[in-house]
Amino acid sequence: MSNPYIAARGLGKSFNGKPVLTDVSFTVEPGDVVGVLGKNGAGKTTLLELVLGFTPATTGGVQLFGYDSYRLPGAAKARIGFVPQQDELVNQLTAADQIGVIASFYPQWDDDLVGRLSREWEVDLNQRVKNMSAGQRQKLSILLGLGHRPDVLILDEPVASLDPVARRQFLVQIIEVASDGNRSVVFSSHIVSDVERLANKIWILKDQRMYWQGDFDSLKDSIVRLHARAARPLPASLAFPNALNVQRDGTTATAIVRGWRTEMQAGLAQQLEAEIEVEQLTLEDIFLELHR
Amino acid sequence: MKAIARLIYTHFTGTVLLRYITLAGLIAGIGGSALFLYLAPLLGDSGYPSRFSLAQETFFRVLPVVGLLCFVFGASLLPALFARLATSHYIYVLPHGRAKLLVSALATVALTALFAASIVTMYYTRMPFALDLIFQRGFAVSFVTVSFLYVVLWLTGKSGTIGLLVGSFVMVATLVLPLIFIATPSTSLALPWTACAVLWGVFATSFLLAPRLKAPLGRLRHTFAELVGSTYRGGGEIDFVLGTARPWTLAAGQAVPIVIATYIMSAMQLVEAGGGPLAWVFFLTIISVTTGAVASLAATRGRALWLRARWTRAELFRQVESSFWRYNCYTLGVLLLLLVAIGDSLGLPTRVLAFGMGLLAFGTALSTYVGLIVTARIGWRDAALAVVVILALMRTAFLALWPTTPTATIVAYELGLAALVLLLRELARRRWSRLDWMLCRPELGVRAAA
Repeated sequence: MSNPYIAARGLGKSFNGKPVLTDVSFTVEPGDVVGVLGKNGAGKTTLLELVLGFTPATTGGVQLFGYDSYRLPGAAKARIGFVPQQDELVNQLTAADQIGVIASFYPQWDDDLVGRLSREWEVDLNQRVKNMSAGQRQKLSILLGLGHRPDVLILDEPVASLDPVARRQFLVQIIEVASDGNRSVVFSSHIVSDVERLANKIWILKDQRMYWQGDFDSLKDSIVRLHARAARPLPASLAFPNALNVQRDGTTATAIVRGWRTEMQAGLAQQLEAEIEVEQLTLEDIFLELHR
Repeated sequence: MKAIARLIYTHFTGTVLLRYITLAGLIAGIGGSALFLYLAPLLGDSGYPSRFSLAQETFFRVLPVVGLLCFVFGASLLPALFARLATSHYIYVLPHGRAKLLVSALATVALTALFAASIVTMYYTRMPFALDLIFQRGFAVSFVTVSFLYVVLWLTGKSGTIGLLVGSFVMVATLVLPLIFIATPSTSLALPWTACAVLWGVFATSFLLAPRLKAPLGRLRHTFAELVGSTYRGGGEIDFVLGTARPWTLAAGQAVPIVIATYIMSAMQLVEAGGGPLAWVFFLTIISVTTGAVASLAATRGRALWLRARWTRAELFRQVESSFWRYNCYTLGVLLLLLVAIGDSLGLPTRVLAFGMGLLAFGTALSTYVGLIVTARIGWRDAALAVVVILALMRTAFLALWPTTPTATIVAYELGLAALVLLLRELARRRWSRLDWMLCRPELGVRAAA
C-alpha cells in the first residue's frame, strides 16, 4: 500500500475550552474520494481546516504528504487545492485577473484545463467578480482549486450555491480528478445524494467525534433497517443488537441497527420468534437515522 | 518571482480605471520630466526671456507631479488586494503565499517611492546640489509617506469604527511626517529610515507570524470583550444593529492622535512651519468630516431593522438619524473641547474659535447626512456631492481663518452651510422614503470610503 496523503491521529480541537472535535483518527490514500457528513456545527469545517493546517490542533495532529500540516513547506502546499465554503475572491478584479493572480503561484498551472472548464461551466472570464452571481463565483472558486491539478483537493461544501446542472458538471469533474488513481478528494456537503454518488469513503461526524468512517458499501451493509413480524405480540423490550432506534407496534417492529452482519439474521429470528426482513438504507436514510 | 511580479502588476492595473491612471502617470511622469528637461533652456528661469506663456510654463512644471500622483494612486488596489488575500484561506495554501504577498507590497511601495524620488531629483538637475543626496532624501520620505498613505486608503475603506479610528491616527501621521522635512530640509534622514524600518519590520513580523499569533490574539480579544462588556444593552437594540452602541470609542480614538500630533508639532516647533496655529482649525474640520463617514453604512445595517421592526421607511429614517446623532455628539463634544484647549494654548483669536466651533458642528452634520444619502452603490453624483461639501467647508474654514474677512461674510458662509445641512437632510429623508433594500445589501460594498 502506498503512503497515505493524509494521516491524522487523536486529533482534537477546542475553542476557549469548548471542544469542537475530539479524538479523531483517519487516513486518506491516493485515489480516495472522501465525503464528510455531519449536522451543522458537527465540526466538518474545523476538521478540514485542521487537515489544511489553518489552525493548530489542541491534541494530536495531522500529517499531510508526511509533513505536519501546521508547518507545511511550500512544495507540499503546491500539491493542495482548496475550495472554501464561502468564496474569497477579490471583488475588484475580473475573473481572468483573479485566475492570473492565483495561477502565478503555481509553476504547474494548467491553462488548458481552466480554459476548457470555464467554457463548459459558462464562466465569463471578462466579468468583474463583484458583478458575478453567487453560483458563478463558486464556479470560479472551484476553478482556482482545480487549476494546478492538485494531488489533494479539499472542498468545504462546494456545491451549496450551484444549480443542479452546475452541480452535475462539478461532480463529473471531481470524478475526472479522482479517476487517475493518484489524487484524492475530501469534500464536505449537506447534499447527501452527491456524497452517495461521488464518495468511495464516508466520514460521519457526530457529537464532535468521528462516528463512522469507511467505504460506502460497508456503511450500507453495516447500518440496516430490520422489520420483525411475529405471530404473537412482541415483548415490550426487544433485544435487537446495537439498535439505534426501535419502534414496536403489536406483532411488528422496526429497528435501525448498527454493525449488522448477515449471519446474525437466523439467530435473531429464532430469539424473537419472528420473521426478520433486512432493508438496505440509502445514505440519506442512514444519516437521518443516525441523527434522529 | 512570477507570483511577486504578477501581484505588483495587478496592484497597478487590477481594474480598467487603475490601468488608465497608472498609464497616465507613467506618460505624464516620464514624458513630463523629459519635456521639462528638454525645454529648460527655453523657460523663464534660464536667464533668457521665456518662449512660453505663464500657463504653458506652469503646465511643464506641474506635469511630472501630476504623473507622480497618478502613479501613486494607480497602485491603490494594493491595500484592498493585500487585505483580501491576507485574510483569506488562500494565504495558507498558496506556496510561500505569505512571503510573496509581503514582498510584492514592499516592492510596490518601493517602486512608487523610486518614481517619486526620480521626479524630485529631476527638478534639481540644473541646480548646484548633490543629486544623489536629493534622491536618497526623496526616496526615504516618499517610502514612509506612501507606506502610510496605502494604510490610510485601506483603513478608510474599512467599514468598522476601529478602522476609522486607526485611519484617523495614521492620517495624522501622514500629515505630520512630511512637514518635518518640508519645514527643515537639513533634518537627518535617520528618523524616516528608522520609522520606515520599524513600520515595515513590525508589519512584516506580525504578518509572517500571524498564524502563530492567531490563537493568543483570539484569547486577548476574548478577554478584552469580557472586560469591556457587550455592545448590546436592553433598550439599545437600534444602536446595536446600526453599530452606534459604543460612541466613546470613536471619540477617544480621535482625541488621542490629535493630542499626540499637537505634542509632536509643538515639540518640534512645526506649528509655525505648518501654516501657523490657525491650521489646526482646518485640520479639526477635516477630522469632523470623518466622524460622520460611518453613517454611510446606515442603509446596509438598517436593512436588518427594516425586516424586524414595524416602522415605515420614513419612521426608520428618523430612528436611524437620531441614533447617529447620539453617536456623533460624543465625538463632536470631544472635538469642540480639543479646539478650545488647543486654541487656548496656542492663543487663537476668539473670533476664530467661535467660527471654528460652528465649522466642526457643520462638518459633523454635513458628513452625517452625506453618509445617510448613500443608500446604494456610491455613484458619481454622491461622490461629487461629497466633494462639494468638503470644498464648501474648506472655503468657509479658509475665510474664517483669514484675519481681514468681514464677520458678516463668515456668518453668511456658515448660514450657507446650515442651509446645506437642511438640504442634505431633506435629500437623505427622500432617499430613505423610497429606499430599495435590494440595492443596499452588505455584499454590494457600500463603504465609508466615499
